[in-house]
Amino acid sequence: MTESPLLSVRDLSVAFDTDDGMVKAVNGVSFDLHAGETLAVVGESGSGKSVASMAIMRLLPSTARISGTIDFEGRNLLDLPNREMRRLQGGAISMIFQDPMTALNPVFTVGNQLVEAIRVHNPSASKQAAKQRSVDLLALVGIPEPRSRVDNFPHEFSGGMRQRAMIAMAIANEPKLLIADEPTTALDVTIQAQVMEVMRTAQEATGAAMMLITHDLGLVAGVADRVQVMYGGRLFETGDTGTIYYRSRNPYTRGLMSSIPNYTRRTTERLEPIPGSPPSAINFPRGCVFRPRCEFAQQECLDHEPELRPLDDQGLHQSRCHFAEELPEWQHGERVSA
Amino acid sequence: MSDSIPAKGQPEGEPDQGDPPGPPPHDTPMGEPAADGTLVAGGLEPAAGSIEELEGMSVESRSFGRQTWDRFRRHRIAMIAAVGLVLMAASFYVGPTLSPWAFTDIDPAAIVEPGISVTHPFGADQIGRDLFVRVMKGGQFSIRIALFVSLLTTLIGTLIGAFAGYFGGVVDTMISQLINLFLIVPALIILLVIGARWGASPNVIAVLLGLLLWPQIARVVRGLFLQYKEQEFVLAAKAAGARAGRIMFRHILPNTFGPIVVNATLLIGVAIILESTLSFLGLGVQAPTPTLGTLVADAKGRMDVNPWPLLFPSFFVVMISLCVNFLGDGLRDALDPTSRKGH
Repeated sequence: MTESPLLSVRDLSVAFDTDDGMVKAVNGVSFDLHAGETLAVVGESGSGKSVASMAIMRLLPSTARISGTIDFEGRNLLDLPNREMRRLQGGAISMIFQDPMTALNPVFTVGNQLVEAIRVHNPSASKQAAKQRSVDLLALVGIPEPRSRVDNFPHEFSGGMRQRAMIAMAIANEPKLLIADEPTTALDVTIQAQVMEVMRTAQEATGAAMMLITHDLGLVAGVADRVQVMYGGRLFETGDTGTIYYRSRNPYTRGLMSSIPNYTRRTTERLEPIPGSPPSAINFPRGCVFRPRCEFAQQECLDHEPELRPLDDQGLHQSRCHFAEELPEWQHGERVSA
Repeated sequence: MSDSIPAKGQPEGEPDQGDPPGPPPHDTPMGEPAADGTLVAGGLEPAAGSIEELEGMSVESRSFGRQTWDRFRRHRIAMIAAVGLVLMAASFYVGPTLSPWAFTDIDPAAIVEPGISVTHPFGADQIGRDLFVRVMKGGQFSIRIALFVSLLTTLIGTLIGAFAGYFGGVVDTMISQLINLFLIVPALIILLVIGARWGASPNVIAVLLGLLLWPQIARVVRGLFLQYKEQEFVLAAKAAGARAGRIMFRHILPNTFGPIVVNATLLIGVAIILESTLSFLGLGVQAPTPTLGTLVADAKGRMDVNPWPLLFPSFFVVMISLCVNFLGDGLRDALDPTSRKGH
């Protein structure tokens, strides 16, 4: 980890001024992403994971108040003029969206949209070359008969094929950073695995780093190098995938894990949901934002908000909990009760 | 386009995962228990051919224009209306060349006998001008004005509506107020005032109508842009580095084509009627240039003596606006790229 990271986010905060008050969607998030690495960002709805990724892409509406820095290859994206940012968008940084049903323009053929994606960033590319590249890309993401499929309209594709086409579009300009915002949420389970496989192929083909935003922990286990868990717009725990899965030192992460159905469990066992619901981003609770839902909460948790602090020497495993070390032993799926 | 993916009971399923349409189960010895009660493997034969063939993916894709035409062709009333419009327009242009009269020629004989005759198939007006030629010529002017009005209105309305819808905020508020202002001002009265003050050539009338009618289109386009700018494909375009102009005109506008074309078509009908109304009131296109409206106006005084000069131009006004409305209907159905009707 001595080389400088591809993406370095420092103290990123995003707030929206609404009629009901200031919505603090992201609060002081810092993390690094290295070239070729896959980072999963996990959290419940409203945990700020999508907003954070949109901030990196500079896709937030102008009403958003953003602070902190987002360094990509040494340049702060938040300070880049629009023209330079547009050159990065879809070029060095590209995004795969959640819903392939609506993310493709219904009035253009898939090929048209691929050609456009290619030519926006390579105006010198001839139409034929771009078309040929589109066919190659569709083949890469596993669309059968890409040569004839390239002339289809999005509505002639199934959901899984559309998401494949979106992936093809995202990697068209060989991005260095690929942000996938819940890329499989809109797909059914059998297709999810295939699409993840395609994303892996695509990532290998381009050598891109990937930021995978999801609430599906099962999906994360297979593909991510590192996982970071977000709650209330804050990072709650970050570490290697194995560490997070088997040696989590955060009550929220453990709660998330325990609420996943697991077929090795006995059917008589009940899933354990995290009680309560996520906090309002307008009025966070006093102290630790997870305290009201936490079964280990103490007086200390009410008095002081914990910091995200390293639990090992290199700072690879970090947790936001006053009692990270004191938490009982725990393993995914078979929790030792306190 | 449901015909590119064969019906498999689950049309939206993932094609490269779907069950191969193998033989029906009853003639497949599928998993019949052997003597010892275990299942026999290999009961289900793999279907022949590549997956692509089985999925019917080699079906050729039709272009958007082709699909639109195919759908439009099936809309019988719209087709009749389109043919009717073409025939009327053609006769307006061809008709006058077949007649020995020009639209300003006066035939003294016809003043005495203005009824329908061989020399004057539609009769003649009060000062002996041939009505066949005048109706055809009037149709020409009316259609030209209407087309021009429709184009101008659509252009102005689309641009303004697109800006309001896409940028929102202050821009939208200002434009919306302007639209409302124009909508509450009665177009007819404005036209009457201007017509009375400056008189009117067909071009002036057309520009005036265009300047008065744009809010209708602008409102439609604004609504469509408001709706489409929230779609994820717009976000995707932004994420791909497209700038505002490109997103507005290359990504969103083509999606709004259907409603815009339909409205433009319907505007032709509105413009014909408005122009006729103005001319009828004597404030439209001035003599001797005939339009369908001026012809009706000229004829109204002698309706009980000689009804023909009133009936012919009125017939064309009604037919044109009727056909234009049916045409608009057919286009609306045909231009929706996701419509599955008629398949």
